[in-house]
This record gives sequence, structure tokens and C-alpha cells, in this order.
Amino acid sequence: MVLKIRLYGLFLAAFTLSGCDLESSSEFEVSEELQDVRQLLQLPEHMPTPAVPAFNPLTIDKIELGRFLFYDTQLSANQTQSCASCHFQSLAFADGVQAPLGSTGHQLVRNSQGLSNVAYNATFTWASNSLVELEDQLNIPIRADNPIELGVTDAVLDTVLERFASDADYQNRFAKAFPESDSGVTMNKVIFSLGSFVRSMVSANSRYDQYLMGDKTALTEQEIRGFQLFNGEKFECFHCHGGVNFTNSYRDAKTADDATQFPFFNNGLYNVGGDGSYPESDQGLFDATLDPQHKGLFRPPSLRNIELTAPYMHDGSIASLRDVVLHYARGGRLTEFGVNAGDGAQSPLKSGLVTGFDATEQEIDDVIAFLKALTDDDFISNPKFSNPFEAQ
Amino acid sequence: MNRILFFVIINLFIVSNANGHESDKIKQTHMTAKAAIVARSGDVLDTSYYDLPGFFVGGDSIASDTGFALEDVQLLATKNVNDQYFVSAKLGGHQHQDEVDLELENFWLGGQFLQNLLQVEVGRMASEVTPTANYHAAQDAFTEAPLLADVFFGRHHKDVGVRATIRQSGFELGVELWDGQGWPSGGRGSDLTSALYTSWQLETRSHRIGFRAWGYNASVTERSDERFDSGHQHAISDDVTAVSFTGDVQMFGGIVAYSYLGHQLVADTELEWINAKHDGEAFTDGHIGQVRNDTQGIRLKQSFTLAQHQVNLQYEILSVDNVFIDTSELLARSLGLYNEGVEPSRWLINWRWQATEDIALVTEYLSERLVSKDRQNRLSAGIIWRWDFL
Repeated sequence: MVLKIRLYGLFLAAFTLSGCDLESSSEFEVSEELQDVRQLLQLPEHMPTPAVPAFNPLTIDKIELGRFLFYDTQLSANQTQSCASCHFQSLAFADGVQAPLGSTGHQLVRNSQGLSNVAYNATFTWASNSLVELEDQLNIPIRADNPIELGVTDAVLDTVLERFASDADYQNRFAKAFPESDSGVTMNKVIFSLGSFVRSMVSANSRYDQYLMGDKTALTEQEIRGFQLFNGEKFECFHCHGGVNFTNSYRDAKTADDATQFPFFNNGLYNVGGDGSYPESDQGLFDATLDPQHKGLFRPPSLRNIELTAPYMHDGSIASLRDVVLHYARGGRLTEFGVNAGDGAQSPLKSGLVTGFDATEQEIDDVIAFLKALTDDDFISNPKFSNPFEAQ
Repeated sequence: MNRILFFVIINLFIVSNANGHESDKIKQTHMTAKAAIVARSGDVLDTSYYDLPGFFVGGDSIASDTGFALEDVQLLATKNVNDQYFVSAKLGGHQHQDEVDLELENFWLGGQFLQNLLQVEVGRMASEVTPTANYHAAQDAFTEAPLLADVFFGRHHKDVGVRATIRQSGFELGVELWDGQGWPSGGRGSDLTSALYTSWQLETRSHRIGFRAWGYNASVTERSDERFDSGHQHAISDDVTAVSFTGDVQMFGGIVAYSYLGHQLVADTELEWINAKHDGEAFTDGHIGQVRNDTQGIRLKQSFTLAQHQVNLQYEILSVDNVFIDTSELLARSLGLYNEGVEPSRWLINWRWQATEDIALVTEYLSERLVSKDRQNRLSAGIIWRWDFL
């Protein structure tokens, strides 16, 4: 009897153990819907899947049509400019000037932002909390009349659309991009195609990315030191420029609907009149909300390819990365003379994260070295994003 | 699930052949104080972040620390009423980083019916699905909590609920319905949590064999790992981001135990297996990862008792399989749910000397691999004190 019981116990123990797979693992599955997006964008494993609005699903035909439209000067009323006039691939789709001119010569007040990874932005433009989709933002440079960028106002809309509708190649491209629509060329289709193309501009092969993906030799010792300083409490960069896209204005396909944040910061660039105001030409989020507390609030841009997107800040008023770091080290900028005089470091509206710090030259060099490691040479030479008219 | 059914069927079959036992007597009036004071030295994890890679961890689970600590203090009291009802309470305390947190861990009422065949309890209690769900250093063999207790029950389960238990002839069948407040339930708007357990024990003059099988089911909404929440009694760091989970939690477990009851030497062998499955969404910092989590744990314990001396040896190992759907590796890592093939394991051996009726002295050695292949070793010595006031 005893022997039987012990054998039974041993049997159960063996039974229990035999059913247990004691090897840990992590596996990743992608649903068909997201798999399509990842394949279209050729995303590396470490990059999240960007949020794509259900009303404008990504297709290769829309992306390709958007590429043609992006580089086509027919999209401006006077046929002198295209999106690419202010967004050069060689500069990660920034333009290298403080603020560009529109197609009719209007001087714009804001610096052209780079377009690396804009698919991950929570909001668009430098300071708007209502432009949450690329398709919303694209209306502005194309259609706005003050200031005029491409100048496709209501008065010339049909004329501009007819240029594409009467072109056999574009007819074919629009038909392929929107196979279930027989409405011809519309501004919505133009914008949806441009949105798809811009959404496909993923930069994820910098040396930092290679380091993330396991190549621990991809960053130099100096760049690793800079990375640590970037993420440290002395420089505090990561508070506004954190995450995989180096901005906390961030959203991807897995961001909870009720958790998307629309961060905007006053970084002490100006303090006109001592009340935290910015130059009247551009007061940031205040211009949209009229809330005085929103003066000088701007969206922190992604730092990907930041080496290429000088000059910096919303008004392009800082020429170099070193000067940007020195600006934050001081805790704000001092404008000694002129109508915009004031000490940004003393701004009552300045973010509490911009407190200033003492940094050695070596530390500043290290941080700048790290920022330059975010440059993605593949991105700026990728034929997928290049001018198709030059390629032809 | 098939394994659980197998255990239950076997138990039900065997119960008819079991030797007769008296039904359990109702709790008698008593008041008892217990305490465990432990001094520990050696390697420990960063106590500000007890994160077993890939595992959901919560409740009161916390990394071991070095130095002296009031590991556990309990004041337990029961009032028997007419040998049919009782009211019990337990005031418990644990030291975390130089602070001792006292709380009324349990307060519950019970009664026995049908000639003591059926016991019904209601109140704030610990689950009885397994003793591992109610670890306390002052009452268990080791001064370090089992990994299985930490991962599956947040070290010690506590919740508000009702329990009905039938005990007869060494057989036990229990049903628990919980409000879903305590780990592995918890969170906002948890659905009713239920548990079922059964056990059977057969004892001859020199042998005792026991089996136990159980299941636990919960559906939770935003169950957060409150160990690191600011302001919580176990608050440690504001920098650690808690992971929340919404979805279904199912757990199954079984214990096989055998004891040799010699004239002087008593040898106990116990093998426990627990499996937890999570299916739902884990989120942190506003990001959601869809995850199917399959966690397993095995605990094998061997004890030898000779007069006032007891030697305990225990081995535990955990494994986790996480399948992420539409979730990047980066997010999986930030959720703390990425595991690159690490199976946390721990060896424990101790010698307990029951110096007096009330005081036991413990010397304990631990060797573990928790977060990587690096081994950590600790040595500890402690005093376990128990005093019956009534």
C-alpha cells in the first residue's frame, strides 16, 4: 500500500513536471492590418507602427502618387513651388534657411521643419493643438492665403486640379491610388496622397538606431557619453525630447486614445516686456487659443536628423547645435536690444524644465556628438523619397 | 485546464477510499503574536525596482534588502461564539526601507453548519487556494518569500469575499468569491473573482500523502502595479513607471506532498506548480501593448525535522512566455514584459532551531538568479517569535 502511494506521488510529480515548459520567451505577432503598414513602410523591428487614420489607409499607389505631387510645382497656383521647395531631402526635408518665402514671395515667419518620422507626431506645425492628422496640416501650406505658401486658394483650385486631371500619367496614378472613386482629381485625393507619402518618410537607420538594434560599436564612446548626458538630469533634454522619436509630442498605433499628449513648451527664447510674451508675429499656441498662459508655447520637434535641419527653433533664430545647447545651459536667451528685448531666462511663462545648467565644453561636445549620431544617411539618399522627375 | 480536471477527478475518486477523519473543528478563542526579525547580508537587487523580466509583479512583492529588518509581525485574534461562529482579525506589519507598515490585513467572520461539514466565512481574508498565497516570514519555513508567492499572489493575497468549504474525511472542497481588490485581481472595476480548490490527504501511522488542485479566475480593469506608486505604503521611487493591465487572469495550481512520519525523524516533501495566464492589454505612459502571458512556477521543498531541529531545502524556478500582438520590442521593454530567456530561480536552505517553545533561531543561505544569468547569494540569521496570549 505504502509503495503504491509513493509511486503514485512520484507519478503525479513527474506528470506535473512533464507538462511544464520552463523556458522563457518573448514573441511578437503582428496583425494583418498592422503587418501591411509595417511592410509598406519597411519598418525595422525597433520602430513602433505609426498611427494611420482609418479614413486614409496606406497603399503603395497613394504613397507613390504623393511622391510625385510632393515634388510637382504644378501644385502651387503660379507653378513656381512645390512642397519640396521648402523641404529638401538632403536636409532631412528642412530647407536650411531661417524662414522660407512662399510661392508669391510672402515671407513666412516660421522655420521649415524637417519631415523625419512625422508619422509619429501627436500634433502638426510648430504650435497647434488641433492639427492632429497630417491631412489637416497639409491643407495649410496648400490652401492658406495668409501667408501664401502654395497659394491654391478657392479662386484657383479648379485650375490647379485641372492640371493633374488633364495629364494622362496623373489620371492613371489617381485611378490606381483611388480605385473605388470615380470623382477624378480632387483636393482631398491630393492631400490624402501627400499625407501617405509624408507618412512613409521613416528615418530609422542612424547610428543610434544601429546601436539600439544591438550593434554596440555603432556609437563612439563620446556619443555614448553624450547619450547619457542627454538622458541625465543635468541637461534634462529627454523630458521634452524623449522616446524613440526624440519628442514627447508622440503617438503611434498603440497609443491609447485617451492618453495622447499634446505637449508644448516655452523654452525662454523671448521675454518681450518681461511678461513672457514672444514677438507679435508669432506667439506660439497663444495665437490659436488666445490664452495668455500659452504665449511662447511651441511643440518640441523630433531631433532625428537634427544635424541637418539648422537653423533651429520655431523662428530659425539659432544657427547651430552648439548655440542651442548654450541657450538651454543659460536657461533662456537674452535679447539685449530692439523691440523684442528681454531676458528669456527670466520669463514667467518659461517651462520649469528649462532651468539652466553648468556644462563643460567637453560635455557640450559630447551631447552634440550624440545628436549628430541621429543623422540617417539612408534617409537623405533613399530613392523612395527622392524627386521622381529628376529620376526620370 | 485538463490537468486541473485530472487532479479533481483523481481526488474525488480517492476520497471514497480515504481513512476517516474528524471534520475540522471551528476556530477557538485565542490571541497570538508572531514576529520574525532577520539580519541579512550579501547580494540584493536594486530595491527601488523589483522587476522580474517579463513577469507581472504587484501587491506587496518587494526585493529583499540587507541589514536588520522586522520582516514580519502579526497579531492574530479569534473569538469563538457558541462553538458555531467565530470572528477573526489579523494585524500585520512588514518593514520596507526602514519603515514598518501596519495594517489590518484580515478581518472576517465564519460559521460552521451541517454538523461542521460546511464552513462559511466572509470578510477580508486571504485565499486558501494554496498556502503560498499567504506567505508570512513568521509562520513559514523560510524568512524569504517564495518567488511563487511574489509573482502569483503579490506575496500575500488579501481581498474581501466569501468562502464556503466542505471538509470531510481528509477531503476538502472550497469555493471563493472575491470582490477583486487584491493581486492578482485589483484595479478599477474588476469583475467578480472566483476560485475553486480541492484537496485530499491520506495519513497512516508513518506516512502522509496529500494532493491539492485549484483554479482562480479574474477579469481586471486597469490593474496597476501599486508597489511603486507615490504615496503608497510601499512607495519606493517616483521614477519607476507602473504597468497596468486590463484583461483576463486565470491561474491553476497543484501541490503534491508526501511526509514520512518516523519515530524521531519527520521528512516532508512538497512539490507545487502554478500556472498563470494573462490575456489582455498592458499599458504604461499612455502606450498599450496587447499581450498573452503564460507564467509558470515550480517550487520543490524538502524538510527534515529531528527533535528541535529542522533543515529546509527549497528550489524554485519561474518561466514566462509572452506573446505580444502589434507591439514593438521597445514598448515590450518599457512595459517590463520583455524576457530574453531568463528563468528566475532560487535555492534556499536553512536550519531552524526551536530554542524554546516560543522562540526559534534560523540561519539561512540563499542563492538566486532573478534578472540575468548572474547569481546572487545571501546569508541571513533570524529570530522567529511566537506568543499565545490566550
